[in-house]
Formats: sequence, structure tokens, C-alpha cells
Amino acid sequence: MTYSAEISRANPSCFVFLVDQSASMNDPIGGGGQRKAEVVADAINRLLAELSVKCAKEEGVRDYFHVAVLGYGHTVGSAFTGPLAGRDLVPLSQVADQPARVEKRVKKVPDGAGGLVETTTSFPVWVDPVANGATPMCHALARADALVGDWVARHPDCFPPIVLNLTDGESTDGDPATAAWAVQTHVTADGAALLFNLHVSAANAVPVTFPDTDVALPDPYARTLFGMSSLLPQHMRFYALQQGVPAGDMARGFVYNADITSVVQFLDIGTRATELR
Amino acid sequence: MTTSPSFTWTSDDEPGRAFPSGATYVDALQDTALCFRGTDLAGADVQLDALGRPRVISGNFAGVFSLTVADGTRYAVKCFTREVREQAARYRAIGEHLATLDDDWIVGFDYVDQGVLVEGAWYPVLRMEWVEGIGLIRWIERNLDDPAALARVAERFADLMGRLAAAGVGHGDLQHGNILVTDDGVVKLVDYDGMYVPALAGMAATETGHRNYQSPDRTAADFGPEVDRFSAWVVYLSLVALAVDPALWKQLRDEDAEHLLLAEPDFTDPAGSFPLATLTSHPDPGLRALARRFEDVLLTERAQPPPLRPLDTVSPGAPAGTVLPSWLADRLEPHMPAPPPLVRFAERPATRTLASWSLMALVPLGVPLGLVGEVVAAVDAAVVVAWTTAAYEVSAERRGARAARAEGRRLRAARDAAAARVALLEEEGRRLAEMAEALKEEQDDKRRNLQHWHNTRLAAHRQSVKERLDRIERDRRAALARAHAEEQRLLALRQKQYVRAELAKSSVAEVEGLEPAQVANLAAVGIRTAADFVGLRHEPDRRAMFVLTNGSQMRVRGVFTAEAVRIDQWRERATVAANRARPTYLTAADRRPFRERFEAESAALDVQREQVMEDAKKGDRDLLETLRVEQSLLADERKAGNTSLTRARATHDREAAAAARALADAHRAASDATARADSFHLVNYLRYLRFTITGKG
Repeated sequence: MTYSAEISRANPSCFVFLVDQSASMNDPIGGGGQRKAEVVADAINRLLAELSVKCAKEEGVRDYFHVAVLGYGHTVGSAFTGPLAGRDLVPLSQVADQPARVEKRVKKVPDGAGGLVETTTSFPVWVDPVANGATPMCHALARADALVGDWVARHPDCFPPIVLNLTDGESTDGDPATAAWAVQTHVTADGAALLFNLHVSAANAVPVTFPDTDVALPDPYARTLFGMSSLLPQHMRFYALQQGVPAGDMARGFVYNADITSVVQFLDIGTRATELR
Repeated sequence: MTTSPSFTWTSDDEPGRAFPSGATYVDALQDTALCFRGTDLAGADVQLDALGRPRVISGNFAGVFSLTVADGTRYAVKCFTREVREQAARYRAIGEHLATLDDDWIVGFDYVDQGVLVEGAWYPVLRMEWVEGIGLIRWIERNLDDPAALARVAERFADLMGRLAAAGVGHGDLQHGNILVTDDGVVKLVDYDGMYVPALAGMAATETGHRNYQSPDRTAADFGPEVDRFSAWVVYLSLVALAVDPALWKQLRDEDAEHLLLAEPDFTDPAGSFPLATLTSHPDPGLRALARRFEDVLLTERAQPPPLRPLDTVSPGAPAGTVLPSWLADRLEPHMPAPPPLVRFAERPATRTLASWSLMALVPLGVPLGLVGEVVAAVDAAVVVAWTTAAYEVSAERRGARAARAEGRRLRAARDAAAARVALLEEEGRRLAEMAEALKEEQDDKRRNLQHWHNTRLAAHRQSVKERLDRIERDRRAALARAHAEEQRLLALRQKQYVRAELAKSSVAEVEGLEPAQVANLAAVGIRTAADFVGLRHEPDRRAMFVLTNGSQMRVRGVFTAEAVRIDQWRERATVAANRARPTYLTAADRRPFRERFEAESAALDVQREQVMEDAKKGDRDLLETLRVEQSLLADERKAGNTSLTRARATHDREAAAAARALADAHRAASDATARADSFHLVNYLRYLRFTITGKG
């Protein structure tokens, strides 16, 4: 139970992203004009891009991970759009090569001399913002549970699967804690499956990253999501600390109205800085 | 045991500075005029990927981009994703030391402190000379059919290790990705992030290298010129093994594996390592000796490995040719060896042959001696049989046959034992699968039960809440009804008072046709207004009597029945008129006390209701909390069960794989031994006799 298994093509791990696509995601995020659904879609697209970059090697993106993105709202199912639509676990190299489209996004950035300058960035998109229907979080976690259980049976020695749930927390099909714990009972020789949560809230409360207690959390949804999040494995806490995020011994994989892309940087991939080409 | 990099940070240290992630650099490098503003890389062409975004090669702590500047010079630019303390100083020291060496493994670089602008902040970059070379794994795969090239690179690598040691340099992360081979076979080392040079003495390592190339005992404190010793053994042993026997590449290693022939598990458990066992028992004596030396290092000097001791010469073997992948090689007999040649009698010791001949010659000689001769012949024949039998038994061929058959029996028994072990392990595997299934079912049952108990408790709780709320509503309705009834009673009183007051305003003088005397007589008995009497009482043959308000009855002088009836009709009319005009509702003032009392009662009930709702919510929360605690305990139990089962399964799988390998070996050994034993089938007594006589084997 050390979370130290080598992540390699011969011994890959898996990522299951759960994306809340319920009607409540139409509301704006706390303190900003952006809709929660857009925030979450951006987050998932950034996570996929980050994961692809993390696993990019000389000859292309390596299949260190297989990735599923499940949306839950009106229905529960694959949230991929474009060529991957309808698929659940997809090898990362295929994810990297087949976004639905690459958008040009214009933004103003500091020019390093005190001014702002407009620049265009291409941004690959795999998942579109959707906000429709109820919030069947228990159902979504049960799907993740099935994918993780199957994966663990086929890869008994791998780095444990990571399930990352992006939501506003308001489950409509029951208490998600039960389903959340079920996901974390799947184990490989290296440890139990990890469940992390990103809570986007309409409340204008202070963002929280990897807390070790729920006392500062503003509402019962946040506390429930905190309670169902896994403890961060030790090496992830070290990386968090290096990135300037103080993460204590009991820090959980929970983020409130903040960026969770950093978890990709916490992954320790067997090979380090390699070919200079 | 963990081989994840250790850090110069400890949890007591202050948090570091956040560095951009790989994808953030990919975004930033889409505008090289901006992100490299003011540096020589400003506006450089960045190599793009299939999506048209900057192409990156990622390491664990950095990404490397390919940039070509206006004059056509190409650079590899490394952008860091984590902060390394004193990185600039380290690189300066490394650069200064390498400048004094001028060796062909070195790749030139500049550390630029203010190298790249990302989201308004400057970060360092390492700008490196572009090297045309191939990573070691790809290079090996391209050269498996050229053992001589493999041997050459092995020698060059060993030589390079010697030069590094002499220069006091430790690379720190020797591994396939950091070893490039150029077209002309020069070995280059890249990625100097973790490099040791003498000026860095006393500092700690910033990383502990790749798990498949490092001693399991290496820590961040191991930082000196000897830091590469272990990985040098790993790389050199693999290169030599491949030069001698390129087929090992596919036999000992999964496709896509991130290591050469040996990996971390072989270092932590050398006794259980199949690759190591293959190398230490390889037919090539040079390779075997080298592998055994490394095995010694693993067993006795893992923490402090000795410097690499290369072989004097590496003799390249045959190219791999069409090598079967290891998974297939196990399933096919790799080479069906021709059956061993038949063994025939070959060697006749002169004295023993001479004795046999002499004895046999005596048999026909004894015959003419008649009866005695027959006895002699019989005795002689017996002696011949005894002698030749004894000689046959001690002959080398007979001894060989016996030994081969015994070996055959032994190996078949071993094969049967191996088969029995495989069967046992298969049974064990089935048992584990059943246990897993049973555990899952049991846990699912428990989970369902928990949910069921929770639902029951919740239903009971909600029922009791509902009952309390119902009671409160009943009380509220009763209070309202009471207030209403009291209002009605008061209204009736008020109406009576009104009628009475109205009637009191009238005067009997108003009755038509009454004489003043009659009016006066009526007043004398107290009847002045319609309010003073309530009706008449008639008695046969007598004048009607007035019934007064107080119930007394009296006749009034001078008022006869006809007038009395008229007066009473006047009273009734007045009563009807007053009743018609009587108030139909209470005044606000009249109502206020009832309203106030009801409101007070209702407010008290609201408080009760609030309390019940509060209790209900708390009850819900408590029940949910209880359920969660129970479920989390159950999840822990399940996790623990799964963990021990997974461990048992991992052990089982390892043993099953070993047993399957052992069975395949035992099969081969047994069938080889059977073939060997069969090759002795011409070795029997009769043939021995023939051989003794004729010399034909």
C-alpha cells in the first residue's frame, strides 16, 4: 500500500473523470460570471491536455494511462464529443490524438514589461459544457466503481486507478458517500483506488485546496465531498508542498472552487527528463 | 520500499514556489516572440505536434522543446515544472567543470535564469545544443541484428564510465532515456539535472534516478563521483548480454518495458529473478561470470557497489534473427533436438574378451568327452553365461543404460511432481477466485443489510416525527375551534343585549288604542317598554296574564285579553325588527381577546413544531452519520479483505508462473532423458554376446 508502483506502458494505470452535467451547473460560479458547466468543461479539457503532455515522449504520447470521462445529468455515460464519443476507457495516446476540435482562444496576458498583450492559444477540446437534468452522482460513482473494479482485476499490480469527480455537489439520487467508499475498496498490490473531488460552488467562499479538515468548508455539500475524498498519498503531498501548496498529513484529494490540474503534476512517471529531441 | 524520487525538501521546510505545468508551457510556447521576449530565442520556430501545438518531450520534472532560431541553429530547450533550489548554482558548477573536460559524451548548454515568460512571471530554462542521437532502447532495437555494434557500444560505455570516474563526475540518473547513441556510435549523456561535480561536494542529490537503474538503497544523501556505479553495472551487463545473445531482448523483457534486461524487482529480490537466473546460467562463460559478479553486488554490496569491472573482451554472438517473443517461446519447443544417436557396444577390454573367447572355445571341445563331456560342456556353458553376464553388467554401455534409465525415471518423477504442483496451484487459484467471489457477495450482503437497517431506522424516525407534527396540528385546530365557539357565544350574548336595549327604547304608549289609564296600569306592574315582558299566558275564561322578564305573571287592571294580545303583538313586531337589526359579528375589540389567546396558543405550537422539525433534521443527520460510519467501517473491512486477497493472488500468480516454467523445463528434461534412455535400447545381453564374439556393436 505504498502508491509507488511504476507507471509504464507495460503496467499502465487508469483515470476515470466524472463530470457533473446537471441543470444546476448552469449557475455561475462563486464570484465570477462563468457558468459552472463551463468551468468544469475547461477543467476536464485542461486535465486531459495536461495528462497528454505529461506522457509525451520522443515518439509521441505513451499509453501510461487509460482514460474515461463520464458525464452525469440527464443521463450517465461517456462525455467525450468528437471521434471518441460514446467510448469509456480510451488509451491516452488516442485521447491525445483525437480531440473533438482545437479552439483558438484569445486572451490578454502580461507582457513582462508591466503591460498586457493579446495572444492566441490553441486549446484542444474533448468535452463540451452541458447542463441538463438531475444530478445522479451515485449512479455515476457506481459506473466508475464498475470500470475501476474491472481494471483492477486486469491489472492487479498497477498504480491504483484515480477517480476524479467534478461537481457542484448536489447529488439527487441519494447520499454519494456509500458509492464513493465502494470505489475506494478496489485495491491493487500497490494500494486502494483513489477518489478525488473538485467542488465548484456558486457560493462566493474562499477557495480551498487539499484541506485536512472540513471545518473551513462553507456548506454540507462541500463537507460531504471532503468526507468521501481519499487521503493524498505521501509522494503527492510532497509534490504539493513543492508547488507551494501546504498539504498536511491528513490532506485529502479535495479542492473547493480552485484548480485541480496540479494532481497530474503529482503523478510520478517512471522515466524522467529524457531525450533532448 | 519506494523508489520515487526523494527530495531535498522535508515537510519542515517552507513550501516551494509553484512552477508552470507541462501544458502551461505548451500554451506559453505558442507565442515565442512573447515568451522568449528579450532573449536570443525570441521568435524562434518551435516544432509542432499533430494538433499544431508545440511538441514536448516530458520528463518527470521538466519538458523539452525543439526550437530553431533565425540563423538555423536548433536548440533543445528545457522548461522546468518544479523548483530546484540552487539550480542556477548547480548548473554553473556543472558547466564550469565540464568545460575543462572536452569529452565527446558532453552536450553543451546554457542555463538562462530569466529564460521564459509564463503568465507574467519569468522562469529559468536550460538551452541545450541539439544532439542527433537515439535513445538507448530504440538504438538497441535497431541493432539487435548487429551484435558487433552492441559489443562496441558496451565497450564504449564501459570506457565512458571510466572517464567519468576519472573526472570526478557522477551523472546521477543513468538510464536508457539519458544515454544517446549517435550515428557514428558515440555514446552521449544528456540531462544533467542530477549531476555531481567536485564543486558540489557536500550537497544532496536533487533526485534519486530511475527506479529500474538504481540500487534500492540509494537515497538523496548518495551524491558523489560514485553515484553511477550501480546503474553502470545494470547498463553494461545488459549491453554485454545482448551482444552475446541478442535473443535475450525479447525473451527477458516485455515489449514497451521501461528498462533494459533488468528492472527494480530483480534488484530487490535477486533470488526470485528469472532474468538474473537466465544470465547467471547462460552458456557463454564471459556473460555468466559478469552476471554472477553483478549478482554478488546485489547480494552483498548493494548499498556501496564497487566500480564497474568490464570484461577484457566482449565476443559478439549470432544475430537474433527471427526471435520469438518470450510469451511464444515458452509455448513452442524452441528447437526440436535430433534424438541422441543410438548407443552401441564399442570397447572390448582385451583381457576380458580373451577370457570370454577361451571359455566359449571350451564348450565345443568338451562335447567329444561323452557323458563327462556333456557335464563339462554344461558347466562350461554356465561359466560362459556367468562370465559374460558379469562382463556385460560392468560394461560402460550397460552402466550408461542403467544410469540413463534411472535418470529418466527420476526426471519423469520430477516432471510429475512439477505437474502436481501446477495442478495444486491451479486449484489454489480457483480457491482464491471463489474466496474473492464469496468475499464480494458477503460484503454486498452486508452493504445491503446496512442500507436496509438504515431505511428501517429512518422510516421509524420519520413516522414518529409525523405523529408529533399531526398532534401539533390537531392541537392547533382544537384551539381554533375553541376560539370560534367562544366568539359565537359572545356574539349571541351581544345580540341578546342589543335586542333588549332596542326593546327598552320603546314605550307601550305607542300601542294603538290604549288609554292613558291602561298605560299607567301597565307601568304600575312594571310594563313600560317591550323589554319589560316576554309574552302572555292564557287561561280559559279569564283575562290573559303578562309574563314579566323575571318570570312572574300578572293581570293588569283595565287591560283585557284583546288589548293584551295587541300589546303582545306590538312586542313581537318590535322584537322581530330589533332582531333584524342586531349585529351579526363581533367588534374588533370583542374579538381581540380570543384572537390573542389563539395566537399565543398557536405561537406556542409553532415553537413545538420548530422543535420537532429541528429534532427531525438532527435525527436524519444522526442516522445518516451512523450509516456513513458503518459504511466506512465496512469499506475499510472490504478494503482490508481485498488487500490480503490481492497479496495472496500476487504471491499465487508469481508461484504459478514459476511452477509453469518449472513444469515446462521438467517436461523438456524428462523427454530428453527418455530419448537418452531410448538410445540405449540396443544395449542388451544378447547383443553383448554377439559383440563379444564378433566385435560388431
